Amino acid sequence: MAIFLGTLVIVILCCLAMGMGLLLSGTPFRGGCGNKPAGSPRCEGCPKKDLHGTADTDKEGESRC
Amino acid sequence: MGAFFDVFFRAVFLENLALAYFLGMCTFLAVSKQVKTTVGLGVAVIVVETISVPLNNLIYNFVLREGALAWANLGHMDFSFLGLLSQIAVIAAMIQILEMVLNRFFPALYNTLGIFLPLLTVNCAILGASLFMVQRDLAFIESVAFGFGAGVGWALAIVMLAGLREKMKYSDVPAGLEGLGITFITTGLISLAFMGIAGLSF
Repeated sequence: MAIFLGTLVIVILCCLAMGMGLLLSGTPFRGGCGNKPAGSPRCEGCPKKDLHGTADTDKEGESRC
Repeated sequence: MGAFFDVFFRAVFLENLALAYFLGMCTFLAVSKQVKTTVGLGVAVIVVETISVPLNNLIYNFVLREGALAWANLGHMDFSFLGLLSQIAVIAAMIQILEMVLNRFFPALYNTLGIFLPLLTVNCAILGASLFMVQRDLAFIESVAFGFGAGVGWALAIVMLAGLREKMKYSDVPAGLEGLGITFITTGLISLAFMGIAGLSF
């Protein structure tokens, strides 16, 4: 049991260390093609990029890409 | 103090991670086209190695290895199987902090290094230094010397190769060897030269 708990604590600390960049910069956890930030070239090269709506109608998270 | 310099010089010349163990070859070959870029990358590697190797030494010796937790009355515990995970985590954290610093203060270098900066996280030269430190059971001061020396050795190797590649642009290289072919041969020749240092005695 002690080994299990120790392993759990160490793994959690390692995960926090690996996510240190996000934690320090305060970047929210989001991503994916449908959540691209405005002006981001993330969909460049995507075969379905033309399926996006116009800038007025395309809401974040509702992309069909 | 003698042991410190011994470990340092061995790490730079005799046990050079790039030229003796051929670690970190992906970045070594891909970024070594301009001396200016390689100096920036070399400094980044030196900083990461100098901090991550001693930090991993402390974590391994005071938390992970068998009997390391005796200070917390848990001397029977052995977490050495988590060594690789903790080393990767420390290196990843270091690289992310370095990325932020470069992005803030040296944006030109940040843009030049591009994807190779976050890829330092999985650069086997950096992980290799931490693994060698554990394998050789180095003390803390020795691990500082080894981390610094390993970084300096890798930086020295990539700057040397970049200098040669810059000059080779004006050379008449046979068509079949242009690009990576002649780079591999050059790397091998530099490696042989470094191996020659092992034969010197002072």
